[in-house]
Amino acid sequence: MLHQKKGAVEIQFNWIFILIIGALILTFFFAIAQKQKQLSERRLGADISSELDLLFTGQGVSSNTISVMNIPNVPIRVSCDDYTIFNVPRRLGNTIIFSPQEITGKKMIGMTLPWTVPFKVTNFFYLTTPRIRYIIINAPDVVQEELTATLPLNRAVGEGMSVEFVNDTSLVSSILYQNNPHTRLIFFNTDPELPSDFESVKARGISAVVLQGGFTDFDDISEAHFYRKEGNAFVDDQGADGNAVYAIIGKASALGAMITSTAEGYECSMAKATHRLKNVAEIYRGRSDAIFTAIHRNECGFAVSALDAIISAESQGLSQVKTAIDAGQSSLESSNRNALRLSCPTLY
Amino acid sequence: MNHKAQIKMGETLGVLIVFFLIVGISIGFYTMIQKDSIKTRAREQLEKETIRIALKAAHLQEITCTQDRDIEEVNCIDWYKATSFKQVIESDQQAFLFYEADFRSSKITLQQVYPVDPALPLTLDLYSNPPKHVANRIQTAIPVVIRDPTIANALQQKSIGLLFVEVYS
Repeated sequence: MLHQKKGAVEIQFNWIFILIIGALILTFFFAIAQKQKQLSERRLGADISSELDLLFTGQGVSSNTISVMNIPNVPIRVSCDDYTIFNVPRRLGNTIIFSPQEITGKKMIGMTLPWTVPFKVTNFFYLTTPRIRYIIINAPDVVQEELTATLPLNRAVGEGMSVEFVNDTSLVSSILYQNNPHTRLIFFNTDPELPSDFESVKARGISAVVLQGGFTDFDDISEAHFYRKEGNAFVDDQGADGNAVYAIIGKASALGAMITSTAEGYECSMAKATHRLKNVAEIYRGRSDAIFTAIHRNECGFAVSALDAIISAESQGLSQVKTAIDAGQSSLESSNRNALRLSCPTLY
Repeated sequence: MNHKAQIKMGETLGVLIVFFLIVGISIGFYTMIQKDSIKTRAREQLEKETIRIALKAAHLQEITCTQDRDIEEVNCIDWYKATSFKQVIESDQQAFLFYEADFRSSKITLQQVYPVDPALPLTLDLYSNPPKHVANRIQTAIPVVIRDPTIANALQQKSIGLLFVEVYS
């Protein structure tokens, strides 16, 4: 009887022992598997980031390029300072990127345009996907023609940008939602209107911008008013400085306001661009002084006051930079033309 | 019977100890291989970083020759732009920090090769930001044309040079 009781205790103890050790072993391997999963995700993220980094650098050094890239189907979150894949952030450095907040899908479209004021400052890089839908409303003919020539529209299905032109503003309310991850409405000189079919769409699924200006050509766009969806209407989308309206400086900047999905993204990228403009202007200022000293020719004067105005405007904001550029552009251009005519070194 | 149970328990513990020993050795071995692979990957990353920085430096708008407002001359560096660039980043901390975002821990030097203009310095350190402790370094040189815009004769304006890019980790 005593032996039987002892045996029963022994069997029960063995089972408890097996359960504890089994649980321990399972936990151990589960922890290793989890760690390994995290590690391989980080590694994949780092690999993709590294490849994208080289791609951005390679593309960024050439102007007027368009490329459609095959990418792994993982979401890429893009901000003005960095981009993140699997929570692995990668700094963008001074690359100026205009992009929607998230890139999804297997194709990514990259474009570059030079930013000239009138000297070239840098290339602007535009990133988007064929899955993001751009609807351009009430655009003047000249703008439509330039957009058609600039953007990758007539490509194979799923490889070009998804752009639609709506010339009649009364048709805006009847635009249908087509399940795109993001829809960007671009209005020209008209108030924004949320199509009724988008009322149930999440706020991050749609945004709008109103471009205002004279529109004799693309360079005449003067400012962009950014909007985001709140409830069943568009409200001001404010950047980090609290503004929703920002100056547009040239075609490259206008395209940036169209492609980026937030005021914050536009403001941040343009802040980087104007900082670079200040550096380039300072370099040209120093160079013109050094050249003037070296050649001793009084007729070879440069429009340095225009450069000085741009340098001092940088700290006062985008609108002031635009004013300085608008005021100095013609004198900079004529100074360069005169230099060429008189066989002097050019300013830029 | 009690003695038999103790032997059984000892056997079970023995098996567990051997099991965990094998697992431990395997993890140690795996970690050792991983360490080597991490070193290789770090070297690969540094090589990619060097290519990236060299590309950026060779096409830096601030120093490259331009014919018109946006027509760049490929692999051509304007000596006066380069000198002014050096002065700006040496005198303006904000400007240095701006370019640090692109060039990180590296050194970029422009060197005259042929013909050497004796009126100009042989080398120009455009950017220098070495770390306190250098673990690894890779250097690459890009052949470039150096243009002196103050020389009136267009044929004599250009000389051959090298743009050295040294990247540290």
